Amino acid sequence: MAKSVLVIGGGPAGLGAARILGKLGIPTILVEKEDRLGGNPILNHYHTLIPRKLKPEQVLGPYIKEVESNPNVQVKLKTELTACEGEPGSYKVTLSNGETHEVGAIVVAKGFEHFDPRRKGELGYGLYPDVITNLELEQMFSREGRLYRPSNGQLPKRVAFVFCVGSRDRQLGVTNVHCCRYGCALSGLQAMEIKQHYPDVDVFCYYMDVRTYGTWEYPFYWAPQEQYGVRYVRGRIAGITYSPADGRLRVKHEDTIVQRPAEVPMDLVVLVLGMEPSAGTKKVAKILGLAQDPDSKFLVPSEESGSNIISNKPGIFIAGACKGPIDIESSLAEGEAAGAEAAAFVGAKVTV
Amino acid sequence: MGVIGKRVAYYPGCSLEGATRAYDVSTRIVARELGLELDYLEDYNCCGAMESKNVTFMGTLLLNARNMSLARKQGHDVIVAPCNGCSFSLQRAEYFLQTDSKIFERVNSLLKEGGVDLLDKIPETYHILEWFYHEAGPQKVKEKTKRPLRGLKVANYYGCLYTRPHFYARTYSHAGGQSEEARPRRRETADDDEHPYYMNALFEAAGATSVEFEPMHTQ
Amino acid sequence: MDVSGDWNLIILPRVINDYDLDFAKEVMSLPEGKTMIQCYQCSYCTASCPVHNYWDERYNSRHFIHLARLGLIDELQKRADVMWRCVSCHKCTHRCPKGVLVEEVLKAILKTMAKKGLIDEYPSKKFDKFFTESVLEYGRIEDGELLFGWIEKQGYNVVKDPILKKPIPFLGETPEWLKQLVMKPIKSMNISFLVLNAKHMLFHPRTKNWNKFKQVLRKVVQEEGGLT
Repeated sequence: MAKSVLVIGGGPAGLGAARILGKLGIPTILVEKEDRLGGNPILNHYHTLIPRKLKPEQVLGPYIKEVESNPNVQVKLKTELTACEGEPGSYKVTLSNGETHEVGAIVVAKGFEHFDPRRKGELGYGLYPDVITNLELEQMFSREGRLYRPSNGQLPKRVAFVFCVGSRDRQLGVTNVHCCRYGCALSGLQAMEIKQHYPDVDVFCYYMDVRTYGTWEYPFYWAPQEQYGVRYVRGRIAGITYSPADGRLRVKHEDTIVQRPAEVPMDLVVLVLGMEPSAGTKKVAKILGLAQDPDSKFLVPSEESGSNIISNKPGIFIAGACKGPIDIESSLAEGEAAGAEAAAFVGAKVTV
Repeated sequence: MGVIGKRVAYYPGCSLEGATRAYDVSTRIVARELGLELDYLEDYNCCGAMESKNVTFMGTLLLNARNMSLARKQGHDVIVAPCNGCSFSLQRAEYFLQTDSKIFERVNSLLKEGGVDLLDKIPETYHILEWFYHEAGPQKVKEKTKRPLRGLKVANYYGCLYTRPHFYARTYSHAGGQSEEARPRRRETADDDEHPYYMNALFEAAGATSVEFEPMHTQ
Repeated sequence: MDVSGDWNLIILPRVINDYDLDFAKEVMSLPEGKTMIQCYQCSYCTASCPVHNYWDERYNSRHFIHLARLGLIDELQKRADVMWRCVSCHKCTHRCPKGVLVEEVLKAILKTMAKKGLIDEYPSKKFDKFFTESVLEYGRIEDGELLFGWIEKQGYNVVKDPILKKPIPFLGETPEWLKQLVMKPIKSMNISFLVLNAKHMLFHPRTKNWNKFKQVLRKVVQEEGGLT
């Protein structure tokens, strides 16, 4: 019988891996530090996912169900990896609940964390209630189903999206110079959702570049402008202030096209947060000796491999946002690829 | 060849009956010699050119819709205009009439008010070069040439509006550009938009020599 | 003490304090201004524009669209002296990757500015109105009459025939550029064409059955406020 496989992380990538391993008949241990599966999209109550505009439950629900009901997969919640010894092909792993297991391969899918906007003090997050994060906007949609200003509960007349908060920013150190990859597209989607429900709200996106790459260009950049009249203004927001006179915020920036400074009133400002490797990713990288990007600390694939799910350690595969910003459908696909690779590594014989 | 029609409505435009009378005379002769028929648009009015379009949107549309209506009355689906400005104006009107049903309805009701026949169908407008090229073509021009323009050096100047903008007319429905049909597409009979050659080809067929003139010939 | 006077600059308002979003709404409510919303500021239009390239870089179609979309009226007004300089070559509209009818949009912006009293009557509009008046009146234009009528309007002392009171070409004051422009083709012109042109100048070609249609046209133009 084939050796078992350990999957670390119960988010999209981990679910993808565990699902395919279970299907292939490989004994699989899925460890998740939180008390439920699903990762960030489920735990943080995302509203609509890019690029296919599905709900997190629609996308991840079937995966969770399949993983939980597959007898080959043991799901261990509130559990983390604490130590690992041994050779490729027979790793002895210790978990936080005291158990030890011998596994043939490991899939690492420890994911990312949202940037903490308090680190950008000039944006006034935490100081002004009407400065919120795009995550909070998602939760406003998913939990309350309406748009409002936290300061007074009323509908804002104007909403500003501030791109690249915690991304592409050397002031935060070398750790945050990368692009978050999802922010432009998600902002386009959120802006469209606002306009769909509140056509009279004016929405502004303050950008440096708009990186709705590939096929995302039309649905998340052109459509917000052409169909919903969302306005894009080129210029990074350098500060957010509050005017007690009218109770509105001022977004301070240079309109780089006009080449003039601007302080424009806004009712609600949404900070588009960057992605950072999660604490768990960094911890697991240390335990397993995985290569990390010296700057961002995201995991990096093996230099010899063309595929980005192969780590520098034989028998250890990496998938999803632990190795850099990624969207959810790609995360699932990477997880499945990593799961299949792990199955092949432990000697699964699959007949067609 | 032969995609536009051998018998078309002929809209000369104001200038061809005034300062550029010579162009009108030669156009008619050339068409006749090539076995094509130009049916003079009786009692036409000015296309409005750039000037009236800058002043009034609906007025300019009406001016052109009246000419279209006359062409329909004379039984034509196709209008040919030898003037760049006129063919532009008609094509522009065609574009707005075809892409916006509200505008079309308004124009029709105003035509009625002005005592002009309603537009049952929007005729298509072609530039005379396009028409000559597709209905006769260089080969026919060569055959019919009696005194070749041997030794005549020609700088073929096409002007601004001969090829631009390429999607005014029957290929583009705008309204935000969402659907597949909404993408700008070139009219199939249109000349190459950035490097037109119909006039070069026709003149060379008549024995003249085209001189190198790019990129000025569409400036 | 600052004697350069530069310190005065500091009190000029440079900060954009707000947008005038109604302006953009009004531009886009015009049929020719609708596509303004599609612009993504790539500047393909401006790079193609002969006015920008060969005349004045302050004429920048992409920039005008940006300003109009945000309603930065003061910036638009700063460029009022160049905004009407479009030569309608349509390179912008032809090449725009987003399908913006750039030439039409710019005219829509100008129209909106004029309507809101944000721009004085600009030189090109004077001619546009003069031309359109002639079209409305006769149904057709006559090149010679248009040209010399315009020259008369510019303050040149033209000679008119005593009966019909129409300007007679080249008899009175004529701008030098026009003499040079016209003399060469006229010399090589068939005499019968010259006679015809002279006849047209005296007896303006008219569209028959025009009167009823003219009324409708005038009504429409008046509604749009084009000739005011």
